[in-house]
This record gives sequence, structure tokens and C-alpha cells, in this order.
Amino acid sequence: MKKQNIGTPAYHLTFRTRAFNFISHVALTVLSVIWLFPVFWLLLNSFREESGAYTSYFLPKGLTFQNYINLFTNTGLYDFPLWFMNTLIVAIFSCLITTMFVLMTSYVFSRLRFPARRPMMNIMLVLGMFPGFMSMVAVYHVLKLMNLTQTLTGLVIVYSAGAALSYYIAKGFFDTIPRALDEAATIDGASKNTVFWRITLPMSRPIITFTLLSSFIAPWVDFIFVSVLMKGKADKFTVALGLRQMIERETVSAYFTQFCAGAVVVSIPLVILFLMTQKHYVGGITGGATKG
Amino acid sequence: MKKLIALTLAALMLLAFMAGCATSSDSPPPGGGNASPGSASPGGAPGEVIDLLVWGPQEGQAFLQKAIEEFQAANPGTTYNFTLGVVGEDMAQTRLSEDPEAGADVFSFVDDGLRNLVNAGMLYEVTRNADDIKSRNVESSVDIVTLDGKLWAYPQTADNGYFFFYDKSVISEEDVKSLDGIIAASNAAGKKFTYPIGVAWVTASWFLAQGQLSLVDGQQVCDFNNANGVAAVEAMQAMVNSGAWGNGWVDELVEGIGTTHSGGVGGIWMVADISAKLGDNFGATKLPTAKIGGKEVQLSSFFGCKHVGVNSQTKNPVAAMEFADFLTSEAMQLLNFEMRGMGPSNKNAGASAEVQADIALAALALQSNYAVSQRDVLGGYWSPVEALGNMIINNEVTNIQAALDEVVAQITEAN
Repeated sequence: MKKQNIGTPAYHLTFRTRAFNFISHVALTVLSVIWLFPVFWLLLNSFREESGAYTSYFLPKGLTFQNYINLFTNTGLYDFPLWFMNTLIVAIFSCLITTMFVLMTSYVFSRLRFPARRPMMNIMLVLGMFPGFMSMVAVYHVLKLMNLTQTLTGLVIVYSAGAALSYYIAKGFFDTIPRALDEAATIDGASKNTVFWRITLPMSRPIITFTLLSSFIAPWVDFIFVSVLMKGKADKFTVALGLRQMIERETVSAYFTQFCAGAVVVSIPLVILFLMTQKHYVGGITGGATKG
Repeated sequence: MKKLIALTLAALMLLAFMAGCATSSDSPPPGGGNASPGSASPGGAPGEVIDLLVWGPQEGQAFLQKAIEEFQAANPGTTYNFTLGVVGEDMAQTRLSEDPEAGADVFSFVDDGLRNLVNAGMLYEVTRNADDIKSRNVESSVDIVTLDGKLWAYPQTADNGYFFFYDKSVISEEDVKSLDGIIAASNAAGKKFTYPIGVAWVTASWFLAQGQLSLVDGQQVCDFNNANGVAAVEAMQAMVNSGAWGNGWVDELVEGIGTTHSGGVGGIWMVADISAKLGDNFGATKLPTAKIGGKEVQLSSFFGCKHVGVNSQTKNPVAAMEFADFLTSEAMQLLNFEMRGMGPSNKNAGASAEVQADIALAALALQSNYAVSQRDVLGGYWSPVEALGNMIINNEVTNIQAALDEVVAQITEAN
């Protein structure tokens, strides 16, 4: 008797919880379908056998792997493998340089005290908020003076030179590392430089992977800078600019499925890097957010 | 206070950036567009290697490669070092404006960029062989590249316009002559046709047919908020509500023709897809006539060309002009037609049997009798008219006069 009295409201609660769970899961399913649908559509189109830019039906009439094969073998008109390698090279170098810049700047702002530290931090924060392409023409002419236009080196510089401006997430992370560790190391005779390399960096794996990942993505998705910098030099194009050539008015209908295949291939290095660093990546964001 | 200093410093740095932009675009290019071609002998000194950078779209690279080979074969005495760059005709003006010095010596571009390029002094005036160039190309294409009596570029194609594609098994050659015929035939077959009045480039055909948007002294006159304009909008509304009209532009027509669609307005770049779908039933002709304001009027269109230009900052103006001249010669225009389906502006090439046999180019040639050059369309024309077209499609225009007044005001304001 007593048991039942307690049981009824308990059952009632469970029902409400269940209903709530059900509704939220339905909502989540709907949202994830909306989010994943374009990706799924792109995948399907990259395997579509019949050509054409637009179909009134969703499921392709035939599936083929030929679009991917053409992308890598039929390079007479569109040299995708070359563009892919260009992008990979630029991405690797700019992500290494960017990461070093960001970590060093953040460390300095977090650990050192010097005149004008706060004003400098504020200026950098404000400057970092302006979109980079506002200074595009100026950047172009500076690079031209250095004879670096139409080179991959110039592109690496464009993507990594301003990196220090986005120091604040990493700085927030460094601020959470107890200063006592630094002090202990200093007492043992370590310089600031040694502390950075030996103490701080090994403890900052999450934020390092976060910076690596976000800077690796930039060259794959940027279109504006690379098109201004490279002009017509097709053998120095990156994938974004190269793939764009496929969907010109005259060629879109013949090459659209290959374009989709290219877009899928572009995501592979990003996915590999993400899977490799996934554990640290998630740790990086929450670490920086909660502790900072 | 500290914040204030930080902000001021940031603003100063931003200004420095902007100053960088300003000086780069304001300084007049050395040499300018009026430079004389110099007295260098054609082809340069013996033993000298002449560097020429040529821009064209990716799909046109094979054609350019072939043209270069033939040019070198035709000039065995000179050593050329050609470099090909990938810049589409539509992007050439933008890429050139960013840095004329790094731009191509010879490049293809579309005509709406001509006036800007000339005003900015980026085009080298055509000073060699000009009379021949004027006489061998069709008049409309020469007119487009002539400003203030000077020739500024080499006409390469005369094919950037629109006309009517149709499925011969649905619409007969008699029906396709009038919009009413097309509507009746499409309704009878339960199919749709496209006439994209949501695309300002095509919407113009109704106003042009009414004698509006005319050019006076190189300036488009936008005062179609009158009785003629109202009649044009009424006619468009009647078409949209005819039951046979389908919304859409390139994608819908290419996908639907032969199955759900009976025909539609399109351009030369859609020919390959549409003819592959229709096979023997492939038909193309000028735009139909339409009943506007109680009268049967021929629908008009915009017409554009592609040209080859020479950079005013080229180091080898003579060689660049010779190559541009060669690239737009009769033989090369025919090659461009064979390899890429581009409609020639050269009179002889246009009269050749192959070009004459091309259904779509014949349709375009027919339509060009009723076409108006789009070179001097006001920059502010496109967006308001596109918005008007979409309102007509959605049946949102009730007070036509008021809607047109607003569109004209917006266009005038933007310029």
C-alpha cells in the first residue's frame, strides 16, 4: 500500500521525463537532418553517374566512382591533384607558423609584465576583429614589393602573418596554468624561455591542437586572398580557386559532379586531422572556456 | 583613457591600410591608354625573346594553346615566350584593376567592362591594322568597342545574348513565332516553358520591346515608369498567369526540356545540354512576339560580345597587338567556334557553312536584329529590376505605376 503511494508520483515523473526526452529527441533529429542534408546531397552528387548541374530528383539514377577517378587522372583541363598538393603544402606550413605565433604571443601576454601590455592587448583584440580582406589590396602590394605574389610562400605569409592577433583563447588557457609551476622552475634556474618550452607547452596539448586545427582549415576554405594573389597562375591555385573554375557558366553542366567529388576529397585531410586530434580538441575548447 | 588610446591607435592603423588601398587605385598607370605603339620594328629585334602573358578561362586554354602554336608558326623569325593564365572573361576586368602591372598583356573580357577599363587607362588603343579590324567584324561588335571614335579592343565573339529554345515535338515552327502560340501549344501538351523575368538581363526584353531603356549619348535612359512600361508589366503578368509559364532559368530549362518543359529562353552556353536532350527535336529561334498593350510586338533582348584587349602597361605593345589581331582573325574565330562553340563576330567566319548550319547561332543572329547593346547599361539597373521581376512572378504587383516609379527612382538614385 505504502509502496504504491510512493510509486504513482514516481511513475508520473518518469512519464513527464520520457515525454520531454521524446520531444527533445524528435527536435534534435529534425535539426540534425537539416544540418546533414546538404552534406548527404553533396556525397550523392559526387557519385552521380549522369552529368548535369541540376536534377529535379534527389536520388541519382546511377552511381559511379568515375567522378573521383576523373578528378585525379583527367588532369588536362583541371589539375586537381596539383591544386590539392599546393593547398596541403600551404596548410601545413601556415598552420605550423600560426601555431607558434599564437602560442608565443599568448605566453608573453599571460606570463610577462611589461609597459603597455594592456594597451597592446586591446589594440590587437580590436585589430583582430576587422575582417582580413579589408586590407587585401595593401597586403597584395606589400607582397608585390617583396616579389612574393603568385607564390605559395606569399600565401603562407598571408595566412600566418596576422596569427598573433587571435591570441586570446590561448592566453585564457595559459592563465589557468598555476604560476607556482613557473616560479618553482625559475627557482631551479629556468629562464622564461625554458619555462615556455619545458613547462607550459607540455601542459597545453589541448590548446595546441585547437590552434593547429583552426589554422589548418583556413587555406582550404579561403577564396578571396588566393584569387587576388595568384591572378591567372593556374599551377599555383589552391583547391578553392581551382574547383571554382569547374563551375563556370560554360562548364558547370559537364563538370558539376566532379566538382562535388572534389569538395568531398577536400574534406578528407580535415577529417583525418580532426580524428587524430579529436580528444584534445574537445578538451581544448572546454578547457579554455571553463577555466579561463 | 587607456581604452581611448588603444582605439585611436587601432583607427590610425586602419587608416594606414586604407591609405594603401587608395594610393594604389588612384595613381594613373604610367603610359596610360593613349601611349603610342612606339617605333619598334614588328616582332622586335632579332634574337630577342618576347614575353607575352595571355589570360583566358580554364576551358579555353586548349584553344589559346593552339592559337599560340599557329601564331608562332606564322612568325618564324621571332622568339616568343608565351605564358597562359587562367582568368575567366568575366573576371578579367577585376583582376586587371587590382594590379595592371601584373595583368596579362593580352586578355579576353566581356563588354560591360569596356568603359571602366578605358576610363582607368588600362586598355591600349588599337593603333595597328584598325581599319581592317573594323571592316572584317560585324558592325554591332565594332560599335561596342568604339568609344569617342577610337577602337579599344578586338571583337572576338558576338554571342552573348539570349533567344528561344524549343522542343519541336511540342511547339511547331508556326507556334513558336508568338507567345500566344507557345502558351497554347504548351498548355495543350501539359508542359511548361520558361521565360525568366526574375533575371534582370531577360526582364529587359519586355521594356526594350516597348522602346524603353534606350541609349542616348552612351547613357541608358531609365524612365520606363510610363504607359509603355505599365503595358509591359501587364503583359508579363498575363504570361506568368497563363498556366504554361514555369519559373526558372538555366537549371530548370536544361533539366526539364524534353520531359516537363516545352521550351524556354536561354543562351549559347546551354546548347550542348539541350541539344543532347532533344536530339532531332532540337529547335532554337528568335524570341517570340507578344501582345503588349493590345499590339503584337517583337520581344527584344540585350546583346553582348567578348573582346580581346591589350594591357596599356604591356612591355611589348607591338607583339601584343599582333597576337590579339591574330587571335581574333577569321581562322581563329572559326577555331574558337569548332573547339568551344563560340559564335564569331568576324563576317566571313559568321557566313561560313559550319556556323550557318548551327541552329543556335542562327537563332542568335536572327534575334540580334532586335537586340540592344548592353555595354552602357546603368550599374544600378540590375537589382531593382530583378526585384520587380520577382514581384511580378509572385503576383505581388497591384499598383503597377507605383511599382515602376519606385524601380526608376532606385535606379536613378544608384547612379
